[in-house]
Amino acid sequence: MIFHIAKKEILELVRDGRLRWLGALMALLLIAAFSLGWVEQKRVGSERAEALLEERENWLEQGDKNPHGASHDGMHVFKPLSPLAFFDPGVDGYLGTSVKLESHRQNHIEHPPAADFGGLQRFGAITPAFLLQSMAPLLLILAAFAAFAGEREQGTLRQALSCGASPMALLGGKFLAVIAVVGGVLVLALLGAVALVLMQGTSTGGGTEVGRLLVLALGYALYCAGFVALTLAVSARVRAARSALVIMLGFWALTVFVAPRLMPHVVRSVVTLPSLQEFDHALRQGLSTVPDGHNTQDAYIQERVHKLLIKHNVMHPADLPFNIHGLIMQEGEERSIPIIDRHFGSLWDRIDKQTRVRLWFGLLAPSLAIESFSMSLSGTDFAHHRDFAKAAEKQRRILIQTLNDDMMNNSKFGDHGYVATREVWERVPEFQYKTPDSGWALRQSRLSFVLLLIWAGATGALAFFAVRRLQPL
Amino acid sequence: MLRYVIQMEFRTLRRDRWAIGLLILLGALVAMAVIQGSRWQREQQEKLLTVQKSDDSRYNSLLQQHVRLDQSAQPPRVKDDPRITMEIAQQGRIMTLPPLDTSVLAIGHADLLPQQVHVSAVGNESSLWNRLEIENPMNARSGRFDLAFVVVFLLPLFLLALTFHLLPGDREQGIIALSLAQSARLTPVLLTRLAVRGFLVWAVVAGVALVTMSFMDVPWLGQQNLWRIGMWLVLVMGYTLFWLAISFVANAYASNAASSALMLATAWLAFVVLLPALFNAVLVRVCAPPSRVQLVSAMRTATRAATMEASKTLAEYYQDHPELRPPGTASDEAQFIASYFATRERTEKDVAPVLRAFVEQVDRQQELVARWQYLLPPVLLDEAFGDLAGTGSIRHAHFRNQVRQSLSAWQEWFVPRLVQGSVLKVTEHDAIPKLVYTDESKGTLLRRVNSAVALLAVMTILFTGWGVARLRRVK
Repeated sequence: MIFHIAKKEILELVRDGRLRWLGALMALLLIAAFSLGWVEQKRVGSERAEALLEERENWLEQGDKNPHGASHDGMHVFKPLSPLAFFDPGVDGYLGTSVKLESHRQNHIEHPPAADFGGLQRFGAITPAFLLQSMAPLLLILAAFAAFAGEREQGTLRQALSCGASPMALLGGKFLAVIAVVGGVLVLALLGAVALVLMQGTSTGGGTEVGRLLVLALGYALYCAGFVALTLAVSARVRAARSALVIMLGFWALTVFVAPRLMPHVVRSVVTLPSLQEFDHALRQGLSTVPDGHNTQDAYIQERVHKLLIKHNVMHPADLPFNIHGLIMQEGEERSIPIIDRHFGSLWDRIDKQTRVRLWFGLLAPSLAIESFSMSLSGTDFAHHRDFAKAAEKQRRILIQTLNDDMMNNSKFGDHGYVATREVWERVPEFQYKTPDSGWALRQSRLSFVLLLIWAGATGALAFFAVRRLQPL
Repeated sequence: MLRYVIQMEFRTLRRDRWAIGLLILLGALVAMAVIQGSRWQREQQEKLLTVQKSDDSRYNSLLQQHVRLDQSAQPPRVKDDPRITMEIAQQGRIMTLPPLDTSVLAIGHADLLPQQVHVSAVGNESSLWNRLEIENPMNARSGRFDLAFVVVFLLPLFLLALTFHLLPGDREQGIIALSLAQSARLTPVLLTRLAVRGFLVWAVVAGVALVTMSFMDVPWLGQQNLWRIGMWLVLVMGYTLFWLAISFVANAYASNAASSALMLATAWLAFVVLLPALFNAVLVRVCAPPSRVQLVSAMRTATRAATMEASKTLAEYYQDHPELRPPGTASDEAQFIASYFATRERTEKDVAPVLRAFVEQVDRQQELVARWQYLLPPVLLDEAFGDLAGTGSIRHAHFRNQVRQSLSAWQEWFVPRLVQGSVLKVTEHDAIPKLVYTDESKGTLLRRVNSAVALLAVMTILFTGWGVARLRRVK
């Protein structure tokens, strides 16, 4: 019975000119989004890879210089683009793309692309994720709003029920029909994404992107199924198709466009973030409490030197078997690490906490859950950015330690003319960042997935109860 | 006749709980947006005031210290001595972009872009704009719930919900035939009904916004603010009329209310969501400025080359600036400073083509936005709201220009003194270029806002004409 109903519904939906037009428009937009995304992916990806190579060359070819001078000149590392960024660029545009690694401090990741584009970006950009999150629900609403209310208005609902069709069979048939027709769009998007991932060849995550895409498809399926179920529930409860349409359009606008805009105010009232200036000031204050190795008159350094002289049983720092300046520089670095970790860790934890608060509102507005789930699986969320920032900081520590070790072991106390050569620069390993695997990404997006399950389950239950008490008139 | 239609429409609306509910909801959203906007504005004002005050007090204490040291006749120290020119040149001053009282109208992009920068003689311009304010990236992406969002995105939805069924609804209920039988003409009746509803929506937005502003102590009646608020009201009216004209066309074409709702939802989607997003996507790709990544790479390569050829670089520098060449043998410190500025100047020269390409492309992008936004009323309106609120991209670009000029002025003033190793005199403090932001003229701003009003008027006339032509053919 369900399949008979579904077949009849599919025929009606396919014959509906408005839906055909909208479906074609959606398909066209998806093709445009994939094409634009692909071009951008290629451009930015190769640009960052080239920059990384060029930077490595700059580092190796910097010539002979003092290792501490080299540590101040530092090196830049560039964040690689996630292989799925063409599908969902997420918040990548609002986070930085490169960071300078230098001694004494951890820098912010700089150069967010958003800084170079005007207010237009707040209108959104055509990406496959944007279309699936905002346009697909609209298409589903338009396909389903008249399912019960329209038939009730035309009197065909009474006929169908009197012919022995159970309300549940009607619900199942209509649900399947809408999913089958509009689901084509989802399948198209998935196939497009898989094709582009395969065309990228080697990826940073070791070929796990197709797996990520399949999980993404599951999330989007839950999101869309929830919209179909809710529209059918509303259509079953209201008298006129017009009312069902207006209610669902209102809900769509609210969840897709209004809720994300309300969130900044809500999350800021729960967890506050410092301003850039406040953060930098606090970090500077924190770092000023430990000697950075430059001020030899510092009490801690004086005491440290004194102890080392006693330990090695010598009278003067120049008699030590190593250059004490290198050691002091490195100790300064090590003492600054807990302070840096505390400040950046606290900032990132606050951002994570805000993101979780925002996510819980996904119970009311499913678009919040799907956007988080989608960017997490696409590798373009804050968790991935944080992972990169941690990797870059790890590289900074290796870099500085290598340079300080060289200064300590190969230069003499007071020899300000000491210079290190290419051989030392080569000892610093090349920065290679690997995007975390899909299992990690899935663990990060557990909550959003659970919220999507709740959304699909709750709307399914709502449809079930609404149809159980279906009024033919 | 029309007076009668107006009376009838008000009577109908009074009894329509759905319409009243929508108007109350709209009013609540406007009030919420104004409250959020004024809170943001207050926070911003306090933040910038604190920064400015602490910068002033730091500078004043330096000045006092300078006077004391001058009187004591102690020789200058290497560090922490305001008589050392490098000390003042490096410490710099803070330059701020002060928020306007009217920033309650639109937070716009101002929550992302730095509203204060540290200008010093040793800083370089591009590094000032490398970072955005600290913000949760999810929030940064979605933007704030402000009055501009309510008007640009939501006001059309309310208008459409209140007007989509006017003619098709009457047609479904058979009222049209009755009206026509009483010699009523369809076009004026429909336009009057739309105007009544549109006026109500405008009145709710305007009234609630102004009352909430008063409640939140926003001095909108002040001389500097009143014309901005006045222009905002005109823009909101223009946008209301534009959407009413679209609704008029949909009413004229649709055979039933559901079709009309669909047409209007599609129009909203196209004008407010898809076209701006598509335009943004195309603009980002077709007219993308050379990325900052390229700029960083170019800078690093140029710096490396300049540093590796330090002596040549310095010699070239002295060749370009013979007035800065020390008479005898320069001290180590003077040599270091000269070498630093020489390297910087050479790096800037080497990077200039990349920077120029960057600036040209950004200008081209702005030009494209300025040209094509005339096809996108919501984008044009958003920009105009940003202009009136003082949070728009043009005001920020103006600020950036002034920061650039101030930076050059500081460098022109300090670099010769630094390279020559001069000691700073107390009397010279007054001659250090001041860092004060000056807003663009009212006339320039009004020209841009007026063009938005003109575009809305033209589009309204076009859509209305289309609707009238269609209704003439309706039996």
